[in-house]
Amino acid sequence: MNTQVTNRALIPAEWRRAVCAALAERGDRVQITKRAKLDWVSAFPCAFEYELYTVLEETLKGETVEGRRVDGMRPEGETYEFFFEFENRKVYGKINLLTPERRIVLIISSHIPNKGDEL
Amino acid sequence: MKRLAPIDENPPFAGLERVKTKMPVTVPVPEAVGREPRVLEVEVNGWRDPVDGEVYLSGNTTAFLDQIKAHEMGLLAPEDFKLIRERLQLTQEEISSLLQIGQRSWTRWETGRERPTRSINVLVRSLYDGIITVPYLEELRRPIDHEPFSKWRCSVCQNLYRTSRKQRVQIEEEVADGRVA
Repeated sequence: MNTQVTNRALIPAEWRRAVCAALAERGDRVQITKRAKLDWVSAFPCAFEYELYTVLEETLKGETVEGRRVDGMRPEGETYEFFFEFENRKVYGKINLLTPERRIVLIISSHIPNKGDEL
Repeated sequence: MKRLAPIDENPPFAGLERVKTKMPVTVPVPEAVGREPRVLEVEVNGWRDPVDGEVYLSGNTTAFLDQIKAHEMGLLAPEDFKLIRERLQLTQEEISSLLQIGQRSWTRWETGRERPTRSINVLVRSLYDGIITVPYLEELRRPIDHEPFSKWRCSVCQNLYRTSRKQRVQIEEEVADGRVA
């Protein structure tokens, strides 16, 4: 998986809106990798899964949320990595919005930042 | 408990193959008990990308895992929230007002979009089981009314708890005389 990144900047509102719409609807519009799910469970064993969707949605509703675009992801899509907060802990997130439909989001990462997870 | 993991009709993108995979479900125990959470292993359906081996789980699957977790924690199911509200012949707005919560919270519990805390679950189960009643909850919305009997004073208004006017006068006299602390 290629993860070339460009500079940190405000995440585009259009991308945030599309991702929030999918996160709000859930069902098959939101997919999470098994790895990301296991990381989330490991970091927050008592939390419900929906709390991840809720906190991501709330974070991405923010006009000033910053992130970094990640190019070359598989499958084809528009991917951003960013940080968010849950239970007073900083969490690293990476979401791929599948294009060209822009209907389904893949949660690629949701874990406590590792070394190198800097934006 | 019969657990039928949901199966999504379509993969999120082309080229994926169906796969069954096991996921952990952590069931926290009440903190007072002080034990480690229980971890169950649940088989779910997902999609595997044969190119990089990545496995994807949909929102339906994660909702299913949340459902198991809530059940194991003893939390009321969304249909239970609806059942109790309908049994009490209350609207969502009315029951939210009784419980002194936002209406959106009740709606989310009833639709299963969110889960209640254990404390709320205890409260609603008590209501469900008839241990506490609607008139009692209505009473709790009012400022503290020091009607029935006790000699204790409210720390806010300094009135005596739980006394009738007559009893209150009597107890205040006893307090003044030093007969009651």
